[in-house]
This record gives sequence, C-alpha cells and structure tokens, in this order.
Amino acid sequence: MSRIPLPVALYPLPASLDALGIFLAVLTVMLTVAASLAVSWPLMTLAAETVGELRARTSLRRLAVLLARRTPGAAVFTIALGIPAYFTMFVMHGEAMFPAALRMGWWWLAGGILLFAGVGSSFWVSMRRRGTEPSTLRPFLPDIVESYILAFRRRGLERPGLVLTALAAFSFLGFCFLMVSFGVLAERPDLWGPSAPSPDGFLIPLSDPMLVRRLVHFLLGALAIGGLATAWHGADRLSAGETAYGRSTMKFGAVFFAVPIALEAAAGPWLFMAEPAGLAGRMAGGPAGSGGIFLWTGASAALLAAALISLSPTVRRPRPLVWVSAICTLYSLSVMVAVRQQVRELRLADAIDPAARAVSFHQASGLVAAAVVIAGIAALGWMLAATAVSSGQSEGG
Amino acid sequence: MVFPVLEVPFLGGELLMAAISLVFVVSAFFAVGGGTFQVLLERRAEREGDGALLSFLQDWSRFFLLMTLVVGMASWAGLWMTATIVSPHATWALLKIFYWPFMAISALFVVQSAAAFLYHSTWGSVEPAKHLAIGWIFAGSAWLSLLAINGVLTFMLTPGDWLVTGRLRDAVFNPTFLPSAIMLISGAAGVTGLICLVAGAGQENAALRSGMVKASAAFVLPGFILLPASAFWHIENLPSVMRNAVLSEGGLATTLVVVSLSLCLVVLLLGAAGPFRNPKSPSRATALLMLLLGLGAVSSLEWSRGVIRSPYVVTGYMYLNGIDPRNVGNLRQEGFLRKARYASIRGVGVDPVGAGRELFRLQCMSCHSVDGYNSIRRSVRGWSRDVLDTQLEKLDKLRGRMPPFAGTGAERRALASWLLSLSSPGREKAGGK
Repeated sequence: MSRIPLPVALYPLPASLDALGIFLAVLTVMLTVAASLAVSWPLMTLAAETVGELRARTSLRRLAVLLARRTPGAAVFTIALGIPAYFTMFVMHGEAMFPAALRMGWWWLAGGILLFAGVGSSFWVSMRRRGTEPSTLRPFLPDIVESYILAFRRRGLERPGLVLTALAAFSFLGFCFLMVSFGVLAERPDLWGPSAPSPDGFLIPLSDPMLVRRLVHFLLGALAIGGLATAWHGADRLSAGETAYGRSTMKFGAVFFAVPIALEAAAGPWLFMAEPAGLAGRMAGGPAGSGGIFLWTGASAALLAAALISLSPTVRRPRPLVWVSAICTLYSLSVMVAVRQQVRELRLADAIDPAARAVSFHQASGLVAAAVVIAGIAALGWMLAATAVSSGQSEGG
Repeated sequence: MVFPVLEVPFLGGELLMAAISLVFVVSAFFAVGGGTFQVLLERRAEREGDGALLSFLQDWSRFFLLMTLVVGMASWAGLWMTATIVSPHATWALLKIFYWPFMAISALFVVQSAAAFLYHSTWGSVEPAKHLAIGWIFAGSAWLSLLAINGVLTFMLTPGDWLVTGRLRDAVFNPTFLPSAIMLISGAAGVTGLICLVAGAGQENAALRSGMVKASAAFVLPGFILLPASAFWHIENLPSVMRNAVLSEGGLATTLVVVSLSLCLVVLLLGAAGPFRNPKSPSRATALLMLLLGLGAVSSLEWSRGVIRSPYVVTGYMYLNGIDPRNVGNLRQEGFLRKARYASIRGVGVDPVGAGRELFRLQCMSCHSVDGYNSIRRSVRGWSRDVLDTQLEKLDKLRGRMPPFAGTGAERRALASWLLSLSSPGREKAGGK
C-alpha cells in the first residue's frame, strides 16, 4: 500500500479520446432512439386514445393499447443504454461533468425520482392494459388490500389508465428537461467553474438561450422517432393483411413524423443561431469542416425521410418507403449526434486539463468487454429469432 | 480536491448513498437468485406436468419483472446519480479504472432486460425448451454481472497489488474477490428463498403451497448457512488493521457483523421450527418476519464493509473526502484552501470561523452533517478549543477511522474555531477555552 500509481485527477483514460468519442456517439444514437420512444409513446398513447374515443376509431384505440404496452421496454432500454453513455461521457470530460452535476445537484437527484415514477407508471399502465396488473403482488399482500385490488380490477379495461399514462409522460418529459439542462450547463464553464458561486444545488441555466432551443429540438426529434416507429409498425401490419388497422396506424405515425420534422427545419437553425458566433462559423463550414457537411446532409436526409413517410400511407406497398425513411433518419440522427459532440469538444477545449488526457488502454479488459458485447448481441439475436412468431401473433391480437 | 461539494442537510451524503445502495443490492440479489429460481422451478413443472406451478410462475415472472426492471434498473441509475453528487472523486476514479468492466456490465444489463421481457411475455407462446433457454440467458447474465460488480466492490475494500502494479487484473481479482463472491451468492440465494417463502405461504392450493415452501428451503438453508461462513472467510482475507476492527475492537463493525450472524441464525431457527418443518401450513406472518430478518442480516453485513473501509473510499488510494493520501503532507505545508479548486475562501485571513466552515464543508461533509446524520454538533458538544485542536491534529490516530486533517496549522485552528462555535456558541469570538 505504499505506492500509488497516479493522483485521482490524472488517472489515465481507458482509451484515447477519439476512440471514446466514437464509442460515445454509437451509444448516444442508440440511447436517443430508446429515449425518444420512451418520451413520445406516452404522449402518442394519449393522443391515439383521445382521438380514437372522440371519433370512435377502434384502430386508434388498439394502437393506444400497443403503444402503452411497448413504453416500458423503451423506458428500460433508455436506462440500460443511458448508463454506459453516462460512464463514457463522465470518463471523457469528468472535469466538466461532475461540477455541472453538483451545481444542479438537487435537480440531478430529482431526475432519479422522475425516472422511477416514469418507469413504474409505464409498467403499471402496460399491465393494466393486459388486465393483469395487481395480481402480481397478491401473494405478498394482506387480505384487505387484496380485496380492494380485486374490486379495482373489476372496473375493467374501459378505464385504460390515462392518468398514469399522463404521469409517465410528465415524468419522462421532466427527466428530459433536466438532462438537457445538464447538457447545457456542462458546456458553460463560467457557470460550473471555480469562479462560479458556491453551489446550492438548484442551478438550472434558464437564462441560457440554448436551453429552450435544445429542449424543443430534442422533443421534436423524439416525436419524429416515435412517429417513425409507429409508421413502421403500421406498414408491418399492412403487409400482414390488416388493411384498416395498418393504414390508420401508418397515417397516425406519418403525421407524428412529418410534422415534427417540418418544425425541425425551423428549430434546427434556431438552435444553431444560439451557438457562440465563432463556434457557429466553424461548424457551418469553417476550419472544423466536417461539422458543416454533417449539418447540411443530416438536415437533407431528415427532410427526405419526412417526404417519403408522408407518401407511404398512399402507396400499395409502403414498406420500402418506410425502410428508406428509417435509414435516412438514422443517418440524420447519427450526424446530429456527431455535431453535438464536436460542439461539446470545442466549447470545453479550454476547460479540460491536457494532463488529464493521458491514456492507459487495458488491452485484455477491452477485449473481454468486446467479447461480452458480441456474446450479448448473439444472445439478443437468438432470443428475438426464437420469439419472432409469438411477437407477430401478439401484435395481431 | 478538484470538485465542489454539495451539502446534503440532515441525511448527509453517506446515508443517502447507503439507502439507495441497499435498494439496489436487494433487487440485484433478487435478480440473481430469482432468475435461477424461476427457471429451476419451470423445468420441474414442465417435467412433472404441474399446471398449478406453471400458472404460479407466470404470476411470479410478472413480479420478477417489476422488481428487476423497475426497482432494479431505476435504483441502478439512482445509485450512479447519487454517487456522482456524494462522491465525485471516487466515482470518477472508479469509472476510469473499471471502464471496460462497466461496459461489460452494461451489455449484460441490456441482455438481462431483453431476456426478462421476453421470458415474461412468451409464456405458452414458444416451445418450453426455448422459454427455459431465455430464462437461463437471464440467469447467466445476472450471475456474470454480479461477479463483475463484486470485483469493483471488493477492490474498494482491498485493492491489493493494484496499488503497486496499477493492473486491472489485480484490481478485479483482489484478495477478497472470491470470499465476497460466495458471500453475495449466499445472500442472493437466501433473500430469493425468503421472498419465495412469503409468496408460497400465501397460496390457496395446498400442494403448490407445500412445494413452494420446500423450494424456498432449498435456497434459504444453504444461503443462510454459507453467508456467515463466507463472511468469516472474507474477514480472514482482510488486511490485519481491518480484521482487528471486526474481531477485536468492539466498535460498529463488530456490532454489525454480530447482528448479521445472529440474524442468520434466527432465520435458520425460525425456518426449522416453522415453515420448513410444516410446509403444508406455513404462517405468512412468520415468513414475512423471516424476510425482514434476512434482509437485516444481508444489509448489516454490507454496511459493515463500508465501516471497516473507513477512512478510505478506496483503501490506500483515496480518503472518503476525496483526498489523495500522498497529498496530505503537501497540503499541511502549502495550505488546503489555497490548493482546493472549488474553495470559496482562499485562506484563513481575517475570518477564521468562515474559513473553518469552508474547511468543514470540503473535508468533512462527505460523512458528517451539521445537525443530522453523524452530527458534528453533537460530536463536539462541550469540547474546549484545546481539545478540538488536539483532536484535529491527530484525527487519524485519536478518532480511529477518520482521515487526517489535511491543512496548515492556521487552517486547523480555523476549523477548531468554527467547531467551537457549534460546541458552545459565542465562545469562539472571545477566544475562550
């Protein structure tokens, strides 16, 4: 115990910043898809249920059931993918991330409560939609509680748990607001740095013009991804012969995709304009170069996807159009993530101690982690293949 | 000190962290033990054509889904969010040292989540052999993630050769890795068995009830016999200072270990005298009592590991307040307030009480609160300036499991002044003793 390798702040990075950056980008793309679905699906459930009820559209009410039942999965995978993204980002830029989290400490902790409320209520709604929710706990409850639960269950499925769906939507939106606030704060060394006032743990950068713009940008993107997944499901059902439900679902998904993307055409530049002038210039085609190409091609791909999705409900075989839209959206999302990372790097360039960028790559453990990831992908693939028939049946039912 | 400090009033950061860790540990134990439990029982039910048991397992898998994916995943996220705030220095160091193992754990959690959903949602719609295989994938990935997390937990207590070599292999496979792994596996089996006992005791079908109680005995008995045995093995592998803290000092660590071992014994005796002796008519109250006592046994043992690790968060590498032990000498010469990146006061100057308050905030608040948990006001009540100064000067020697004070003589006296203001308000201004 006499010799200690390095002081804490200088403990080497587990891989080069470039490698970690690529890794973070891949994780962030996957996380953004899951988080977008978790945020958008409760809102789309409420919309489908309300419109379905008002216009007596059975297809939309059926879609509401499906979306409610799928939300817990999106929520769980948001956490499962969010934590490794958190690990990577905090490893790369701990000097900025930890102080930023501490400056908004109580809000940061409240994020955990919102996450629990969101995941819990989405599971409850999902089980209620299956008509199976409270019996789960029956073996563990005293008789009086059990009798209440039985009475509760007898109310039937005409009460689809919209209050809890709204709670899930509110919780996930609140969590997103906090995470976007954290992202904005972390890029503001003047707010978290040593010269900033001592933290009381309640700092939210409300006066930063980026906050509202990034939040709007994220929410529109989330709705679009939720819409795309819904349109995909509609196309899938259509090809399985469920014409009425498939068309209705595709239209619903197409609206939720195309309208937010059209709004993004304004929200994107609005966000970009809030970046500091020098940085915006560099990103839009200056020395940083690739940032500008990314921005233009990403925006074009998203607009192309919106056009194709808008067409898809009107054609006889919409699946190829949905596929191309999905690829365009994935490309757009990936380049937007890459641009965001470039912006973060540029904004934090002066705040990170270069001495903290030493690297000590543990080859063996990196290989073990890679082996676990490959084995995990294989296990996921096998499970999905083994259960593919049953999931097709349950979607139809 | 490269990060600021967030004051957590009343609870203190340590207690907040302990509370969330406990929720995560229980859900992790249940994920590991419960995942194995459900596939073993499903295999038996399929072999024997036991429809009642299969129906029960279907309900059980729903409860399992809630416990592992709602409580487990949310507490896993909550744990890291809390650690970020409470122990930023340690969190950053652990993330850097164990980055690749954490990535492997994350991949395993993704697989577990998918397997839990698919296992629950495909009852009766896929072939039994495939359904069982999905259950085994869940159980296998849960076991692997527990072992990997065990590597990190034990590293914090006994980093072993890593302190010299800096090799990750030495960090993971440290001196207490194996005994602690057995301890965690025993705890997982025991806790799962007790939850299964509570569930089984509430069943109306007599054959199912009896079968569930017998199945729970197969988890509870080995779990709560192996737990104390592996705890002793674990203690044997600790460095002598830590071992003495448990075996001969008679402090909190000893109390916690004795409580844990006693509770294990009580659980075994209650089980032998009650439900396991008469599995046909188990008392639900006894089952619930056993579950509470079992959770007490497991959590006391986990708590004792935190206590014996003090004053370090990573033994020999970092104190609980984030200070590098090698830097203490420098800080005593050059001054802590001048060196701490986020100090709001840069020297003792004309306001020693304010400087003392800042020193307390930066060096002590990771464990102490002013008036709540581990209250400093209560600890120093009635102390004079001389006693305070002596205590601070030899903090690591006189107070047992506390880090040394890292600052100059003037800073130490400033902290003593502020503590005096808590001990007996008004005296610090008069400079009285």
